Amino acid sequence: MATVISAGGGANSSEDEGAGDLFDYIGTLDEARVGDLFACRWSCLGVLRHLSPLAKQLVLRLTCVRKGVPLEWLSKSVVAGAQAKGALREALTQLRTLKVLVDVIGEPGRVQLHKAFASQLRASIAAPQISALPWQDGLDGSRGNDKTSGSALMNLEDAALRKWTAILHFIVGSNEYGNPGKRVVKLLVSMGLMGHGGASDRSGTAHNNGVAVLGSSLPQITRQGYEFMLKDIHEQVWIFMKHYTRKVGSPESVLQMLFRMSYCKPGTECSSGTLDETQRSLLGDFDLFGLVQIDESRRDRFFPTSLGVNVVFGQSREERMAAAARAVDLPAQSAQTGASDAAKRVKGEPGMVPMNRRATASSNVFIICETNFKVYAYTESSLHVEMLRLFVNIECILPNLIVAVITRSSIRSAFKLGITGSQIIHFLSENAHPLCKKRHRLVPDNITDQIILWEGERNRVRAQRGVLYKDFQPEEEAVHSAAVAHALENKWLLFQSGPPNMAFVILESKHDEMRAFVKRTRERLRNNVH
Amino acid sequence: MEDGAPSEDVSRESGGSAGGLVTVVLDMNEALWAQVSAKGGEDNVTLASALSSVVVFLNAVQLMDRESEVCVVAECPDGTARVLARGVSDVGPAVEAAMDLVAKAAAVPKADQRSGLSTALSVALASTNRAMVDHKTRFGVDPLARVLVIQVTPDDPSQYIASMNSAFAAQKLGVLVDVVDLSPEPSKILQQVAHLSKGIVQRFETITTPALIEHLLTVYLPDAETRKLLKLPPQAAIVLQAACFCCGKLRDRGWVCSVCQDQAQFAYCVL
Repeated sequence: MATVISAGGGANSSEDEGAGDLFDYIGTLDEARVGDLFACRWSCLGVLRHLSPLAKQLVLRLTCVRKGVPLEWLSKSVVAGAQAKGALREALTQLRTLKVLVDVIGEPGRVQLHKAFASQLRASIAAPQISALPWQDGLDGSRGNDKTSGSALMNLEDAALRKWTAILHFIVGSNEYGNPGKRVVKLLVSMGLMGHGGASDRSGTAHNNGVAVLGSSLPQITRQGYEFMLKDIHEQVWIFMKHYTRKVGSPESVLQMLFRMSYCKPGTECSSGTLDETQRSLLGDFDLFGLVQIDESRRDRFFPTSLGVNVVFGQSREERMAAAARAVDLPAQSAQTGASDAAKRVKGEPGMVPMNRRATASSNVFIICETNFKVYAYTESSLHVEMLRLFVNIECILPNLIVAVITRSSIRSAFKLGITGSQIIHFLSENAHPLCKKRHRLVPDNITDQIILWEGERNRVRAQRGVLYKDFQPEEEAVHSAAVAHALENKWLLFQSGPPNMAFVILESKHDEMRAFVKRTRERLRNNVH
Repeated sequence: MEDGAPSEDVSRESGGSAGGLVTVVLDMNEALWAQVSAKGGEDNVTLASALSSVVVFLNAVQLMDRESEVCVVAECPDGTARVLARGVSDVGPAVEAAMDLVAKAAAVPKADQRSGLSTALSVALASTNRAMVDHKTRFGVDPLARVLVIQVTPDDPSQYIASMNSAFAAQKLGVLVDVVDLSPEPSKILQQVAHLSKGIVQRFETITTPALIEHLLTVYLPDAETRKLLKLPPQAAIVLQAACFCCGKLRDRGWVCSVCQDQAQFAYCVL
C-alpha cells in the first residue's frame, strides 16, 4: 500500500564546520578548560586585545577590584542613549561568552573578573617592562641568532610561505610544488579537505569523516576543500589548528601556544625548553606548515614566522598597507616608463619594502571586478589561477595578470561543486584591489545581485524525502481524509490528491507513525461499521 | 552581499579601534612633589610613585592594542623638557633615567627654577605630530592621539601665550590634552588648554598612589571614541582669563586699541 519515493538528498544542508574564529571557539570551552587557558599570561593578553573598546575599559576598571561588583554598577558607568546601551550590551555579552566576566557564586547580581585572568592582567600592567617576548627562558639573552632583519628574515618568510603554498597547491591538484609529504596528506584527508571519493560527491559526508584510507591514488579535493581554498590565509591556518584542538586531549595547550606565538616577533629565536608534550609534538607539525622554523643545528630552538604570528589576530594593518602599496605599484610601474626609474631604484634599496614584496609576492591576489562581468586579477601565482578557474572563465593569463569573465555557466559549475554564492562574493571583495577599496562597493552591485539570483535559481526546487500513500479503496475515503487531516495537523503533509486518486505524501521520517495511524483508523472504522 | 564599505574592512581587526598614541608629560619638580605628599597620609603620591603609576598606565595602554604607541616627556624645573622614553620597550628603564634627572634638577638654584609647562607641551605635541604622520603611513589610518599632563608646578603667567599656542595646535591636530592638576592653586592655564582640546581636567589637593592609579585607569585610559560612551567626571566651570601682556598676570579684562587691535599702543591694564 505504501510506496517509498525518493527525491535527491538534502542538498543544501551546509553546516559549515570551519565557521567561527579562535575566539568563538574559546566561547565553547567549558569552565575548567578556560581556567587552564587563562593560566597563561599571553592568552589573557590576547583575549584582552580582542575585546571591544568598551569591554576593554570595563575589564581594566575591574582589574584591581578583588570582590564582586553589582552588575548595575557597570550599566551606570555608561552614558544614557541607545548607542551606549547597545555597546554595553555587546561588551557584556562578549565578556560573558569568553568567560572573562563571571557571576560571583552565592551572590546573585554581582559579577567579577575571572580570577586567573584578573591576576594575570594585574601582573602584566604592574610589570616594569611588558615588552618581553615569550619563550625566552634558557636563551642566554644575546640576540645573535635572531633572524629579524634583512635577508635572514626574508629567507625565513619565503621558506614558510613555500611550505604553506605547497599544501594549497596540493589541495587543488597542481603539481607545481610536489607532494607535501605523507603526514600532511593524511591530515588533509582526515580534515575532510581531500578525499578519495572524487569531487562529484556533493553531500560531502560519505568519505569526509576520516574513514578514507590513503590508497595508491592521490586524494581529490572535496566540497569542504573548495570552501577552504576561498578563505583568507589566516582563516585557513586556523581551520588546521581547530582540527588539532579536536584531536589532542587538551585544546587549551594548543590555544596557549597560538597566543604565545602571536606575541612573538617573526624571526626571533625561541626556546622549546618549556613546552609540554602536546606542544612539542605540535611544534613539529607547525614546522611542516611553515608556522615556525625549527633550527636545523639546535633542535630545541625555533623561529616563529609571520604566518604563525598572525594566526590569532590576522595580518596587521602595517603588513596590509605594505601589500597594498605593492599592488598599487605594479600597474603603475608597468604603465610609466623612465620617470619611475628613480622611484624604483629607491624602492629597491634594502629595507622594509622589498622584503614585504617578496614575502607577499605569491600570497596575495588583487581583483578588480567590472560591471560588465569582467574580472582582472593581479597575481603571480598559479594557485590563484586554479582558484579563480572554479567560478570564472579565464580568457588570458599574463605573467602578473589574469583576465577572466563571469558567466552563468561558470558560476553554476561552481555551485555544482558545492561553493556558495556568498563565498564567491566574499572572495572577490576580500581580495579586492586596493584601488577598488576607495569606492563604496568593492564588488559592483549588479555582479553580487546576479550571483545571488543565479544561486536562487538552483534553489527554486527543494528536495525532501517523502513517503507516498496511495491505492486506497473507494470505500476507504474516510480513512484517507482522516489520515490527510492528521498529517496536515502535524505539518507532515507534503502533497495530497482528492477522491479519484486518493493519494498523499508525507515526510519520510513520520512514516512509521502514519502507518500506525492509518491502521488504527481503519480498524476503528471497520468496528463502527460492524 | 557582504561587500561593506572599506571602513568596515579596516575596523574588523584589532578589536575595532584604531591604535592610540599616548604621551605623558610629567612634572619633575621634586620639591613641589614633596609638598604634595606632605599634605596627606603615608601612602601619598611622591614623584617616584607617580612615575611608577605612569608606567602602569602606559602598560595598560599598550596591552589594549597592538598599534598603540607611548611616549613620556619630563618637564624639568629649569624650564626645559626632555623626552624620557618613546616606544614600547623603554618605559620601564626610563624610570631609572628619570631619577638622574631629578638629581640634576635639585641642583638648580631655587631662584632659577621656572615652569617648563609650555616647553613640555610643545615637545609632547611635536613628538605626537611626528608619531601621527608615521602611524598614518604605516597603518593607513589616523590614530587617536592624546597627551596627559601631570602638573605640580603652579601657573606661571609668562607661560600663558606659549601654552595657548600649544592648545590651539592640539585643537587643530585633534589631540586631547588631559590634565591631572596637583599644583597648590587650580591651574587656570591648564584648564583652558584642556577645555580647548576637549580633554579632561581633574584637580586634587593631594592624592594617594592607589587613587592616582585608579583615576588614570578609569578616567584617563579611554580614547576619544570610547569616552563618548562612558560617564566621566563632570568638568567644573573654567576660568577664561587671559594673561596681561604687560604685567603677565591673569586678568578678567584687558584693553586694546579699537583701530589697530594692538595692546602695546594703549594703556595696558588697570592695576
